[in-house]
Amino acid sequence: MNYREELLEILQDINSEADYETCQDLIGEEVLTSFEMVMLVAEISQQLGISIPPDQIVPENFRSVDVICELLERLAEEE
Amino acid sequence: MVTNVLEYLEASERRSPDKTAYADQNGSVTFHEFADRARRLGSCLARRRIVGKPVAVFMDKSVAMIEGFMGAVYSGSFYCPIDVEMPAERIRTILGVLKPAAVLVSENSRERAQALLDGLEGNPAGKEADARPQLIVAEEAYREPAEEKLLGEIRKKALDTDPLYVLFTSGSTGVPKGVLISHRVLINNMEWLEEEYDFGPEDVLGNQVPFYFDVSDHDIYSVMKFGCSMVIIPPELFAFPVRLVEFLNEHRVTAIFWVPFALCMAANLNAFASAVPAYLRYIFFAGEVMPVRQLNYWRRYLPDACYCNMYGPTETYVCTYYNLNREFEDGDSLPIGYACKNMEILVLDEQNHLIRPGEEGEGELCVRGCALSLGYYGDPKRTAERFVQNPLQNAWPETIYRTGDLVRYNAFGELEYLSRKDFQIKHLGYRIELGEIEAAAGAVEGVSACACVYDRGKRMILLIYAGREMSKKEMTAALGSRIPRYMMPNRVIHMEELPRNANGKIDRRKLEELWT
Repeated sequence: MNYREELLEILQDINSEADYETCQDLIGEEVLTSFEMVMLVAEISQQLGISIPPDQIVPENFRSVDVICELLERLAEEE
Repeated sequence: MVTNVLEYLEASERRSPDKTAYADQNGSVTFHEFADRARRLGSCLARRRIVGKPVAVFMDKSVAMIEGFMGAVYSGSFYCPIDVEMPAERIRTILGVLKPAAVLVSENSRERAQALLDGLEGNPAGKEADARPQLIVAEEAYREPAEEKLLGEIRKKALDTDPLYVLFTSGSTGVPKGVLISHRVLINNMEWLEEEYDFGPEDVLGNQVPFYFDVSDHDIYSVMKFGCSMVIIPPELFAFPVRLVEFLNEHRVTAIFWVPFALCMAANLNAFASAVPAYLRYIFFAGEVMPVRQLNYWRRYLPDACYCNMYGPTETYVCTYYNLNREFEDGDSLPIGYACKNMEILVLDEQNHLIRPGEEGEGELCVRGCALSLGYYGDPKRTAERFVQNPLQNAWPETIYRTGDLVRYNAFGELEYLSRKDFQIKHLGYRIELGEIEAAAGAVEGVSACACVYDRGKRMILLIYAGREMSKKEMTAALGSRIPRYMMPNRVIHMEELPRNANGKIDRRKLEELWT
C-alpha cells in the first residue's frame, strides 16, 4: 500500500510551510523540529494505524517523504 | 560571602583546572581553558569601555556562547542571550529595548548579526556614532591578552545586587519583556541546590533547555559551583529515543534539568524499551505542568532516581520545589510543593487575605525574598504593575511579585498549581503570551479581528480570525517574520465574525467551546 498522500497530508498539517516533495533531509535541514517529529509519529499511529517501534525511530528512516513511505510500507507488511 | 558568580568559576578552576567543564558537538573545554577565554573576552570588552552595560550575545547554542556570557560578566556587564532562530523583526525589537553596548558574536554568526544591526531603525544606542553597539567577534577577542589588574578593579566595585543577565520573555502587548536577574538570585539558587542535593565533580549534566530560558542556568552554573561537567544534547536527538539514550549513556549523564515536554517526548516514544539512561540519578523539570502519566513512565524505568518538580516564573526564579516522595496516579495533579530556601510564598485571595496551608480556597501565588528579579528592563510601568508592595506589610517597603498563577494548598499542605489569571500559556516548555501572537496576527494585512486560544489537551495553539480568508500557509508565512516558530499557531481558523460578549470584547470562552 502507498501511504504517500496520507503522509503528505499529515506533514502539511504539522508544518504547512515546508516543501516536502523536494526536501531530502527533513531533519538536517531542520524542516521538522524534534517536537514535530514526535507529532508525526503520533499522527501516523493515530491516522494510519501504524505503530513505529522505538528502534525504528532513527534519523535514517525519516530523511524524506520517500524514505518514511518505505518504512511505513515495511511495517505494514510485517504487521 | 559569595557576591559574584565568577567566584564559583574561579574556585572550580583552582581545584581542577584540567577537568572538562563544558562540551558540545564541536568538542570540550577544561575549567582553565573556559575561564581563560572568558577573561580575555572580558578584558576585550573592558578595554572598549563596555563596563556595567548590556551585552547581547548572538551565537548559536554552544560552549562559546557560555564563554560569551562569562566574558560579559568579567567586564562587569550583564549579558542577554539572543535566540538566533528568532525572526529578525523580533530580535530588532529586543535590541531596541535593550540598547546593548556590544553585540558579541562568533565568526559564524557575525554576518547575520551585522545584517540585523544594519537593519535597525535609527540607532538603538543613541545618535552619537560612538554610542552604536560594537560588534565583538569572540574568536578575535580570544587573541587579546587578559588584563587581570583591570578585571580585578572592576570586580572590586561589583555588588551582588548588580544585574547578571536579562532574559526576554513573551509580552502581551507584542513587545517582549526583559527580566533582569541579579548575581544574588543565582547565588541564592545555587546555595539552595547545595543544601538540598549532593552534586559533586563526578556529576555530568545533560543540557536540553535553550540558553535564553532560565532553567538552563542550573546546567550552566552548577558546573561552576560544583565543579561538575555539562554536555549540550543535540536537539534533534529528542525525536530519536534510542539515539538519545545512547547519547546519555555515552556521556554518563547523571543529572538533567529539562522542560516537562522533553521528558514527555521520551515517554511518548517509549524511549526506554530496549535501554535506560543508566547513570541518571537526578531528574529535575520546570517550565510547565508535568503530566503524571509520562512521569510515571520515567519512574517505572528509573525508580531510584530523585525527581524534582521546580516552579517559578523568571521573575521569581525557582521559588518552590517538590521532591517526589509518594506515588501519583495517571491524571493526578503534581504539587509544586514548598518554598525554596530564603523565599516565602504568599497565597493571596482577591481581597489580599492570606490563605495558609490547611485552609481551603484558591489565591494568587505571590513571592517575597531576595531571589526576586530586579524588574523589567527599561520598563518601569510594567515593573510597578507586577512588583508591588507586600499588602501584608505596612511597616516598611517590601516588594512581592504577583505571578498571576492561581494555586491552592492540598491536603498535605503542598502548593498545587490551578491555572492562570490571564492569557499566558506554557507551550512546549515556552512561556507565551497569547496577546503577542494576536498582535502579530492583527498586523497581517486583511485580518480585521483575531484571538488565540490554547487547546491544552492537544497542546495546540489556535488562531481564529475574521477578515480576508487565507490559507494556513499564507497566514503562517505572514506571521513568520514577527513571531518565533514555537509561537506559530498549529491551527488557523477563519470565521465570518468572531463572537463577542456584552461588553463588545471577543468572547474567548465561546471560542474555546467552539474549537477546542
